[in-house]
Amino acid sequence: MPVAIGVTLLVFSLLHLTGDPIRLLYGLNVPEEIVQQRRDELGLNRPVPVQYAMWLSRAVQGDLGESITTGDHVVAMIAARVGPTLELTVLALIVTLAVSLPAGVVSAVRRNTWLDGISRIAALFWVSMPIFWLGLLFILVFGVWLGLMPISGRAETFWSIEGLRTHTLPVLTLGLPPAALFTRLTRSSMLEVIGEEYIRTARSKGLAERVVIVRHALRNALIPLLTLVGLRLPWLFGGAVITETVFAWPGMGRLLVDSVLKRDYPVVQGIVMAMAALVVASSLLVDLLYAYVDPRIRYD
Amino acid sequence: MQRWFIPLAIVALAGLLLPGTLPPAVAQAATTLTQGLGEEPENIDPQRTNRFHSLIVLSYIVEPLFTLDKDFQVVPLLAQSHAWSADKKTLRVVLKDGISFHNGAPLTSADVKATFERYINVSPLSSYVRPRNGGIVGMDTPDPRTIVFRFGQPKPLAMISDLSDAHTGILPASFIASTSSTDIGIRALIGTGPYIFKEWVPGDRIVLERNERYRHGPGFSPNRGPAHFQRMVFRVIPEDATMTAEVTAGNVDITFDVTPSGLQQLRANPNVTVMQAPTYSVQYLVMNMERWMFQNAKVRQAIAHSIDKDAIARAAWLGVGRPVEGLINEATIGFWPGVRQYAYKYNVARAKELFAEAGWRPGPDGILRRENDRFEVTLITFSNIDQWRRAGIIVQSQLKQVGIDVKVETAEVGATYDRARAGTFDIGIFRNTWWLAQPYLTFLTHSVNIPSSNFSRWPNPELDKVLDAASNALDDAERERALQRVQRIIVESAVWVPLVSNTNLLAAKKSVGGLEALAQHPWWPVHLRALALTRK
Repeated sequence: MPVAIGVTLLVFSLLHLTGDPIRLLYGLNVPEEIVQQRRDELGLNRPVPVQYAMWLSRAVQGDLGESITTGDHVVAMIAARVGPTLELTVLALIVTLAVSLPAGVVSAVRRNTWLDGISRIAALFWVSMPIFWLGLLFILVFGVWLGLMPISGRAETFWSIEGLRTHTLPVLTLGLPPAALFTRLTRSSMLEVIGEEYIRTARSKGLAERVVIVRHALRNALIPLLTLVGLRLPWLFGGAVITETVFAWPGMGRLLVDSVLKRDYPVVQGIVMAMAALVVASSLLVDLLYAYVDPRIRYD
Repeated sequence: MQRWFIPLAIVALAGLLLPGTLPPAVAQAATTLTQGLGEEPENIDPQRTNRFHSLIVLSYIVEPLFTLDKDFQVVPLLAQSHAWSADKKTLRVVLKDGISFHNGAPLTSADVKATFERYINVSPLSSYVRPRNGGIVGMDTPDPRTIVFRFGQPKPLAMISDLSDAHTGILPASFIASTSSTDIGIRALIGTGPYIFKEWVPGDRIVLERNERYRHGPGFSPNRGPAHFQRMVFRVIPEDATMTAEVTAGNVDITFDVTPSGLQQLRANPNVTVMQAPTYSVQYLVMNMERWMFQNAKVRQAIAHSIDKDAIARAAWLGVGRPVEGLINEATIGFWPGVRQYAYKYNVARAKELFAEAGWRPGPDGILRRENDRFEVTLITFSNIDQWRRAGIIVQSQLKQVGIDVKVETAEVGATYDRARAGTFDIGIFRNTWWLAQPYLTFLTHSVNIPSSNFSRWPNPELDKVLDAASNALDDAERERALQRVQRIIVESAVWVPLVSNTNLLAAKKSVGGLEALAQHPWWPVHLRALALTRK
């Protein structure tokens, strides 16, 4: 709770340093008296500490106020956007793990072979890709030149052919670059585990190599990987901002960018809180997964 | 690996890669027009918004009493006739018979009254007709088809500035009374327009359905209703490169949000039609008259002579902009073509002469000096609009040639305007975006608007007097003369240096018909977009 209040206080203060949202919204055509009237209606002429206190007293009751630019309820605006962002980030994480785990395992098991070399070169390639550039490249190749995939937007229903197609390029854009980092960590973690005595014991017992690698080595190598997942989640939400802009994805990230540029304080504040909550929730999930992966870890 | 996995993976991949796998999409494409929007509207409440992209969408749904033809003449839309009293303080409007709202309710004078009451109370654009400014002090509805507006003072511009503006789009009185303000224009909107509001998926699209009963389009439209397309889908695509890609790939039928950087690629596409039309947006430079070096008129004139507008149009606007001589252009009601003869032409030699006459001589480093002062200025402009940022850099190099050391400082639009109002700059490059000379020239140049919108900080009693005369004139000819004088003073003063005018751009698939009708009207009014466009 103190952390949450601290974050909201910091964001609130910084936003109010950026200037007047009403004049920005109305432009030059509108006389000052009308701008002033709107500031009064929204309470923007009150001292900043008073504004914050009023916002906080409503926020703890679940009311994040109304958007300065749209007039809509902030909770409703975020609720409409959080689903697409979660879809994008969760699927991207799945892609990251689906690519990096096999690649990291193969790279470790076939260390110093051509497979290892290809995996490491590919990892270097993906980690060097800026998300923005990668997204536009995917659009150009798969959307314009080959005409195989939709370029932007999100289908009305996820569980449909069109739904899956509209998710493909943005998910790959967001999921592939981090796969490089995960691949390298998986490889080094696997190399460490493969050298352990219990792996030698498992082999000496006559277990199939696939069982040794997957059931014994990989499971123990997952723990540092889970740590990385927990650390990378905030980065994933941040990367979603860029991906959502490139692909016109109707998520929270784009709403955040638009709101910052328009100085829509209530919306920015609400999204920051929502993202903080998502990060905390996902960190909790990671902690619970530790217990699943490593039976020695138990929480009271 | 299980044997079934590989065949299943192949089938799944094929399904994902096959484009247009849904047969209904083909039929839907013929009856649906997909428009690309470069920015999502905040809301489409006609009385609460003043944003351009909001206006574009809501104008398909709601309609004002009048509209304007290509010569800026007022034509009836929901109104059948109108008559001013001799003193221009009473306006009697008779509504057309047989027009109904999208919910089936007939349009009545009570709806007009309720809409205008709302407009006066909440719209940021209603200043001209607000009661305390001598605007609408009362409205009478003697019968369901007649409304009488009573003004506190003569308001001859009300027909153009308010009654023909989509921001006074008429809503049902019952809808206004029963719908919360957070729902109007976001989750619901009812009007009389050619399209009905169907759905808004935030951040993604706005969907409109054809109003099958619509028959009262303006006289200048080749189709008076109903619209040709059954469905209108506005897709929000904020990234310029993505929008260009969507038009190139044919997923977006038409967009009016084409950037100069995407224009070349679209022009080269044989499946895309590109059109241009003048718009009222003007990029201009203004000097902060609180700076002592600008007090000398010869210095200001020299600066005006130093600026090559053609170079700015080519390099900053990538060939899309046009050099302009006035602070407003021909797409603005009230523009005077005669202002061109008073504009300062690009002439570096003349500029240097004027600097010398004003006592400025080049120093050893080429920068002008006068006694112990070096001619150094800070130029501010927008960082997040390419044409303005580039123009700032070009003006910097052009002024360097005549010996002025310019430091360019850019920031996003809001921060730049804040700085302009605070007066912490020497010269600035800003924009004018309004279609009416009056009251817009008053916003930009009258001393009463220092520093809120008049960034020159130059109180000029003569200019103020002529602006007031233009604002208060009852006679069109008198107003026109006053506006001509205003435009001449502005240009001759060289406090404001008009640079380049923006251009409206349109890119459409070749299968979209009706563009010829659109081309007849200088600013492509939404009614033509709604009614004239068709599928070839």
